[in-house]
Amino acid sequence: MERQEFEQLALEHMDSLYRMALKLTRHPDEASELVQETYLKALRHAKTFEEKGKGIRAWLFTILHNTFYSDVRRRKRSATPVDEFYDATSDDRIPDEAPPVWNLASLDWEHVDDRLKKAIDDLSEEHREVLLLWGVEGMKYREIATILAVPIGTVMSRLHRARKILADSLEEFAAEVGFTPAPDHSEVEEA
Amino acid sequence: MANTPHNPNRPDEQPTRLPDGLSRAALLRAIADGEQAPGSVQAGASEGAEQAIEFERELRDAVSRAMREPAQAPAGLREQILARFDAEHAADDRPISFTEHKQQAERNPSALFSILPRFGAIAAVLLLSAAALWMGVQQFSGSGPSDVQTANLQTVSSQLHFVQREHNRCSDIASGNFTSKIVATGVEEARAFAESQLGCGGARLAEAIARMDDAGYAFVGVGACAVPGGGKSIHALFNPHADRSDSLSPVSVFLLESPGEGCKDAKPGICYSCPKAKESGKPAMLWRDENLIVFVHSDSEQSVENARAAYMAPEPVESL
Repeated sequence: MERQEFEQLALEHMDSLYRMALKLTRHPDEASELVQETYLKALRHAKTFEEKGKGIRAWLFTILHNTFYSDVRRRKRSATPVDEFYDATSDDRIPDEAPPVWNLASLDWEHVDDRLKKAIDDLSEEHREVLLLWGVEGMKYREIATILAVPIGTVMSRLHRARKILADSLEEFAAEVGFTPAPDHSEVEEA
Repeated sequence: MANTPHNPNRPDEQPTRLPDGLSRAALLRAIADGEQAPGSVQAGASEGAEQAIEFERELRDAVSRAMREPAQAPAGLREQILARFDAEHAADDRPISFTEHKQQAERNPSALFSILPRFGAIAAVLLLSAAALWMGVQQFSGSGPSDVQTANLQTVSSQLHFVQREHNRCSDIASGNFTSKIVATGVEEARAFAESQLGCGGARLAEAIARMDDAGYAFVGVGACAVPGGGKSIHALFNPHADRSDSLSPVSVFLLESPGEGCKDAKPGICYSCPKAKESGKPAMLWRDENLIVFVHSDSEQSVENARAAYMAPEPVESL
């Protein structure tokens, strides 16, 4: 791939990559540096990318993910445990807890969003990462699994755990504001 | 239970093969996420299941809203990335001493254009510009080639490459590329911005804006840039007045806080230029102004000369 073509294709995704970098690093300067490192590595391996023929967006996200965690390892920071309940390398243990059935639309969205932002900030890096790829970037499980180099089942379990934490936070919020949802999971019939 | 992959939002994609033996809860979430068809689970028909799926969809929308910011990367990040690309390319090129370049050029002028085939004509322009800088330095310092100058050659090439490309990218106002980086459009704003970014140069820029107006150029604006070499830098753009647009071209002025390795030997009171660059239709000049390095570039020799005059820079040294 010629450099001009690479720049044109790759830089289209700069905003998304920066958003991800900021969610991971939580610091604007570190996020900018991470994005620059990502693009530099991508440039160096542009021919490899062409040969593999994968989508450039997923490829860039993969590089960003790997760069961030390489940096984390280099700094000898211990990564946050992925899932306490489920083995990150396992794809056969998907959570068996049904979603709540109460109606989010009945809440004050402005306050819901604030509560959600705080709950998201409290999540581990790995959960924020999968949540962003799923919720904002609109990626499929398969794409996310490719980027994170984990089985699809692990993506699903991380997503479940992240969503569960957020749903619990919203449920607490609903109770605080006097709205009593009916999280009656038993209404969902078992097969 | 059959997992029938289905994503109504992206029907063109390959279906996802989900793990076998998913629980009902996992299937409901997969349905909510468009990874499974609603009919793939009997519970999808129950009222509770529908509510659960709806909850998950609303939660996803809420997550999207909550995490969407920042919608855009910070201003200047694109330029920083491109600058690192340039530096990477410059570093990739085999270091050749300036003596080698000069000897090749003397034997065969066209050899100079084949040294960096990846960059073609642009590489030649940059190389000649860098050579012009070296020649200018030599003329006034009287010293011979050195390793430092070899390093300088690469850095100046990188800076000039960046300056030329940024000018091309930004001078097309309709593209919005420059609009997105403009911080100041008024003279006083520009003066204050330059001072805030570089610690000096504001008064000189303000004076140049006025003189450029007299010479037939409107000041479009100024914003932060990221010319390679370290330190802060800003980019001011001028467009010809409507009645002069057929004879003049847009011109860019870049002010660099740090001269970097490439320009650290540039002497005050000397303007460096390159006739070969002019011939190629990509003229550029640079000089030291107070503690700053000034790069001027345009597609028009006249416009570069006008900017030099507006800055009251010395006459250019043309060594090649």
